[in-house]
Formats: sequence, structure tokens, C-alpha cells
Amino acid sequence: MTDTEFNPGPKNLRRGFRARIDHDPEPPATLTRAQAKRLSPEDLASYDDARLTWFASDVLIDTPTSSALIKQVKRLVRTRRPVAVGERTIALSGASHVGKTTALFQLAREIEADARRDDPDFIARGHSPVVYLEIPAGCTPKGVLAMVLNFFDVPHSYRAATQQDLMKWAVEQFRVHHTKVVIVDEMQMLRLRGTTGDDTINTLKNLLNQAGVTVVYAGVNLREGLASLAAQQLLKRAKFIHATPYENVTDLGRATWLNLVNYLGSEMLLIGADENHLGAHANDLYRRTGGSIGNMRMLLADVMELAIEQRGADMHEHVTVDILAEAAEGFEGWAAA
Amino acid sequence: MTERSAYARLSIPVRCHQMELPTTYLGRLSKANGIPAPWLARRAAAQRSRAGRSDEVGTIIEELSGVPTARFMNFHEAASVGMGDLLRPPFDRQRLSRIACLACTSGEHVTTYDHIRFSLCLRHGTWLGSGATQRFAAAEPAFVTAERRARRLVATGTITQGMFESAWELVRNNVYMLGNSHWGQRLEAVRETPGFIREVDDRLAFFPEAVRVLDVISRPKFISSASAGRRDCINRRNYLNRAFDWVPGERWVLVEGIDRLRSRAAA
Repeated sequence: MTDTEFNPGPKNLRRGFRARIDHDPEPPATLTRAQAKRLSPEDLASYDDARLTWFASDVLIDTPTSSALIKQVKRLVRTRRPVAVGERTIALSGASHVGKTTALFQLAREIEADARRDDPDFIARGHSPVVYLEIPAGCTPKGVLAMVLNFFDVPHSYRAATQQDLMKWAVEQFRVHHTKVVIVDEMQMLRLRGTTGDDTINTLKNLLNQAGVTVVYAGVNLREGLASLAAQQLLKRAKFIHATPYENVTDLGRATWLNLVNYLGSEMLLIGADENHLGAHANDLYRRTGGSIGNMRMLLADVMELAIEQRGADMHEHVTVDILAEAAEGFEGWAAA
Repeated sequence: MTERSAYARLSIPVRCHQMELPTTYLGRLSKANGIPAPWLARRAAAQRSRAGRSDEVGTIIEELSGVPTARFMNFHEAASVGMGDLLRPPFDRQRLSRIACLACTSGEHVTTYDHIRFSLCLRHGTWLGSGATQRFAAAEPAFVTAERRARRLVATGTITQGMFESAWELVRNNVYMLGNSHWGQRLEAVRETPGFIREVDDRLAFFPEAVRVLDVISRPKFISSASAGRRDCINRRNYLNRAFDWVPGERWVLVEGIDRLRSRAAA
């Protein structure tokens, strides 16, 4: 494991962000029971670890939210002229743990893939087509600007520099790095109610207007948080995409959920498990997770670990109702939430 | 005293050109990465003053770009050949400087250490031997030959910047006598060219001749004879007369001039 893989750094800094974007691991091989039996205990333990890591961290899921987000943003990027006036923004709003940040990283991967198609050496040239900013709690106007400079590792004197200077530098960063899309995550931190956050919101709006980029705002329940004029101005012109949990009411919703469950079941790479083995538990899983993709992944990671632990000498790993119930202990509040 | 925190590597790489001054490189690096160059220069100067080390600028450059400090030291060492004490230490502000070939730098203004290592960019045929003004000179193969010869001479380590200048002055001051009407006409033609700049276009026009003079006075035979003083006067003058057989006009002017230079240097 390289140093970067071991500690890629914060995701709101260029290097950490790039490490996450470029992380594209291969899934472990799927072994039959006979093949697994032939492995030494050490090799089997390594294989188990690799599968658990793969499932818990590396499996990519195309959710309806991520698909809609990617489609919308790519459309905006494709049709945007740098000389055009007027910002083009998208707001991704939804409850926590429904996969907003995951969708944003999938979007970043897609935009980078497009940039690679246009210029295969864009990384060597230092270009950053996507910039990821994460609003910290209590963010000030200068803090927003410093966040951009920090993302690009640009040295600056935060205290000594004026806001205008920082603004000029930050806008320049987007220009020299050929930035097309700026993702602003954790927008709820900006205090969308009241006047205290207004300066910060206006600074952010000003910065992104001047940069001439496509902006994606993301945060928890953004529309509900709107109260100040500044926040309204910022988000009213945005096209809203609502990240919602999966539904289980309509036929289409149930079919989509079943597809997701089966996909995740296949990605668990359980030894000797049938195809679509998890489908039988679809309703139970929905009841326990409330259709939240984040909860679902956490629960299934625990389920997978238990299934591996309870594997018998015949090397058969399968998910049972008991395993599901045991893994879900302590998570019962999800569905209600 | 606490250690200062290191700078993170900037994302946009900037190529370091041959013999480039560290301050110029830092300026270009800042510009490429959207950082105001004066701000970073001020910061570097303040840190240098605090640390009390002249190579602090090099350390900052290394942190920001990955270009090692040693590279600028190597450039300085290479540029120092034959320059005597004309160059200041590598990370100090230089009194003299040159501009790198604009074709090599894609039109970017890159300041380099002053040096005598080369006067002509062989890749692009750009004349660099006259400070900031550059000329396209590739059409004449004689220039390329002269440049190669000059590079060989400098590599021997016996040539100094003063000798370069002296050779050029000897040719320039005696063009009409050395070359009869032929060299004179050449000089006139150059002077009548639109945009003619003294000490640039004329220096380029007579660069091959100046290098040939330089070649003669840098030969070991001449050097040993010159150090013998007046004792070897006849032999030396005979040697010079033979060596300047390519001069179409009054070659004794050159012989006299060189002898005068020798005696001035000896005094």
C-alpha cells in the first residue's frame, strides 16, 4: 500500500481529492467453494479482508440521484461558453446518508473522464477540471476564499491579505487550473437562515460568478434552510435535484430496490452464494434501512462480515434472516428516521 | 527558533530553462499558478532575511516546484566559467544577466545568468550574444561554425569574458583595415539594414571573425609565448602573423593590437 493510499489527505485538498478520484481498484476474484478450500488459512484470511474492504469502500453504485446529477451537470458543462454571462448552478439537496457526497464524487469522476478525453495529459499539466470545496462550520467570507486557495495548495497570508486580494487570487486559481465544475458540499454550514451567514454567501456567489464555472451546491435540506435574501438569491436560480431514499411503494420503486439489493448481493462476492441470493431479503432490508443507500451499505458490510465469520467447513457463505437481524442490532432507528 | 512549515507543491509545473536565475523562475512559477509574483518574492526575501541563508529562495523553489536547489547552483557554476568575479553568488541579485532564447521559451521572457558559454542558440539559430536583443541568424552556416568553435574554446577553460570582448573590439575597431573594402562593405550593409542596433547587429555580423581571433589568442603556443614577455617577442609576432593568414587586409594591425593587450595585461 502506498503512502497516498494509506493516507490520501483531506478530500477538500487537491491531492486528497485526486487520490479519491483516481482510486479505481479491481474487485477480488470470485472463488468457488472448491477453490476456496484449496487456500491456506493465511491466504483465505487475506481474501476475506480484500472482499470486505472492496464491499465496504470500493463498490460504486449508480443511484437515480447520481445519474440525474451527472446528466444535468454534464449537459451544463457541454453547453457552456466561457464568455457567457450568468451563473449556471445545480443544487443537490436531501437528508443525510442518502449518498449525496458519493454522487458528487461520481460526478467528479465523470467530468474528469471527459477532460481526459479532451486532453490525456491534463493532470500532468496541473489542470483541475473539478474542484471540491467543503464548507466548514462557522465559515467566514475570507474563509470561503482561503478554502479555494487551500484546495490548490496556494500559499497565502489569510490574516494579512484583504478580502479583495484573496478574491482575486481565488478567481485566478480557477482560470489557471482550467476548472469547469466547482462542487460546494456541506452548504447547510453556511447558515442559510439569519443575516450572519449573508456575507459569506454573497462572497461565495461573487467568487463563483467571477470564476465562470458550473457550480454544484450540495447540502442537507437546502430549500428548507433558505430564509435570508442572500441564500434565496444563491439557490433560487439553481436547478434542484433531490436526493431521496429509495421508495418501496410503487411497482417501479420496488423493482429498482430489488435490482439494487441484487447488485449489492453480487458485489459481496460470497463464496458459494447463488445469484440474486440477497433478493429474498429485499423487503426486510428496506424495512431496516428505510431505503437509505448509506445505511444499506453499512448494514450489508456488517452482514457480509458475519456471513464470512459463520462460514462452515463446506465453505458456503450465505445471508440468513438471523445474520440480518444480528447485523441490524442497534440500527433499528434508521427506518423511523 | 521554530522551523517554518514547508510549502506544498504547486499544481502547475513550470519548466526550468538553462542557466535561469532563481528569482525569474520563482516569478514564472507564481504567474503560472495564479499567485502574484511580487507577493511571493517579498515573502521569499523576508524568509531569507529571517533564516540568514542566501539559498533560502532555492529551498522555497524546491518546495513549491520540486526543482532542486542544486540545479541553480549548477547553472551558476556553469555560467561562472571565464566570468571571473562578474557573477555574484547564485541566489543573490545579479548585476548582469541575459535573456534565454525566446524560441526555446516559447516567447516567454526568461532571465539567465550572464555567461560566455554560448552566443547562438543552435536549435533555433537565435543570436543571444548581445544582452536582451535577439536576432535570427541561422541562415549563415558561418555563424554555426563559429558558435561551435567558440563553445569548444570556452570548454577549454582558458577563455575569459574579457578576452571575448577584446577580440570583438579588435575586429570592430579595425574592420576597414583588416578586411579591405570587402569587410567594410559588409559593415555598411549591416548598418543600413532597417532596425540596425549598434553592438548587436554589427557584433553578430563579425562574430565568426571575432571567434577566429579568439581562437588564435587562446592557443597554448600563444599563451606560453605571451607569458615569456619581451624575450619571445619575435617568435610571438611571427606566430601571430602566420595564424592570421585568413585576414585579407592589414594583419599587422591585429598583431599590434594583441601585443598591446598582452603588454597591458602583463603590466
